[in-house]
Amino acid sequence: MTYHWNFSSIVQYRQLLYQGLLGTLQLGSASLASALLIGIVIGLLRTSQPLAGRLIGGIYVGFFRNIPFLVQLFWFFYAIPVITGVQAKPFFAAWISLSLYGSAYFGEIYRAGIQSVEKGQWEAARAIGLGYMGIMRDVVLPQAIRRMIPPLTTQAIELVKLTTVASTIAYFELLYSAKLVSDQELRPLEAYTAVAVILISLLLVLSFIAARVERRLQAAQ
Amino acid sequence: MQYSWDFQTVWRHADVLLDGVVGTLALTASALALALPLGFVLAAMRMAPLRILSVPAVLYIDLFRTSPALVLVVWFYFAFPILIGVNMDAYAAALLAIGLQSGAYMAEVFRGGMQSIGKGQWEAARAIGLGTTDTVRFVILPQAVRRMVPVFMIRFAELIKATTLAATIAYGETVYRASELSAQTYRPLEVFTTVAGIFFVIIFGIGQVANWLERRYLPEKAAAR
Repeated sequence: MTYHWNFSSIVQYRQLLYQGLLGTLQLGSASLASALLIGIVIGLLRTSQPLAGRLIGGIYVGFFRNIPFLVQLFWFFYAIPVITGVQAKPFFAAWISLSLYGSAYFGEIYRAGIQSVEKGQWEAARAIGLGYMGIMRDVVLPQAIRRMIPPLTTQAIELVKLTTVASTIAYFELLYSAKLVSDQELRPLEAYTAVAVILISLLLVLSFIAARVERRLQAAQ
Repeated sequence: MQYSWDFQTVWRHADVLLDGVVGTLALTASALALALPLGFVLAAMRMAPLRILSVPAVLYIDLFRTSPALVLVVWFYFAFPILIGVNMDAYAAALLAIGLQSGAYMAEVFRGGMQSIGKGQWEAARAIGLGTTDTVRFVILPQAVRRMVPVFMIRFAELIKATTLAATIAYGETVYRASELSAQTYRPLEVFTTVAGIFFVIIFGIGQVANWLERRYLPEKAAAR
């Protein structure tokens, strides 16, 4: 059997897909920003001197990385009304859970980056009288950041891929808009294929940018 | 606001969740059975000197690794059956989506392991008169497998996490059964807390095995961490 493709419904409802794309970009950028920031706290905790700090960081990372994201999303979706007393907005629940999940992964990348700087650098910096902040800012981070960039970009793209899971709690992003379009005209093949192509193109553009940034950093070294 | 937890209700319906866990394990096992041989073939194709083999493998691996897992699951359930004109249940669609994607990831695990073996090993094997097949079998693989196993365990854990996405197409795995149970008992928070605990135990356990394997087979790398 040959299927007759008909993309007219996609063209007709392109406004829905456009809104979905905006939803994906909004959730993706908001989660990325907060996950990168929270990750710094986790990375610093994981590399800190006091045992309590390392322990808290370790539990945090172990907790969020060992539970499937969908389960965490559902959990927050149901827990937010219990904690705050108001029904969770899909964006809010998705943003919170993506930020926490992503920050555990980013935190591990920061930790690995900081630990990749040799001990001698710390000792030398301390010997010339720098404090913790000074060592981090002037000695460790400038060396560590270059090594962190490639895994950070890979993980950032994974986080954008995960935004599609927010469609399960009816957050209006690309995958959710595909469902809406396919329900309109009963043409799921075209709707889901179109959205898959849009998402994959978006992700390919992101990884292309990431590869360019990496090349420039390597050239600068 | 004070919330009164009630895990008794979940406990009374433990069989529902247990049924879900069986569904998760069945999907994981069959996806793995698809992904491992597929990944091996893809890795071999990708490393082949013939472009007619390596280019399709690269395209396949890049396409499936770039696609969000949930998009694949939904596409294979709603779109693919129309394309090929065959009816497909949720299990088959989830198996294809997750297995085919995992195959792409596994291919990179195999390739990474093979390429981590220094060129000198290949040259030395050739110098003592081994052919390509024998070199791979007796020299490269025994060393590469040790390096692949810990990475493979991480991919295995990621695979289990991905199977939860099959809940969105109503395949009866743990999260789907949990949704049913929470609709029935009005105790979503307790149900999903329990489910989170179940997954944590399984996936954390796999991580511990991975660490143990790394210490056992790659002591020099484990010590560097």
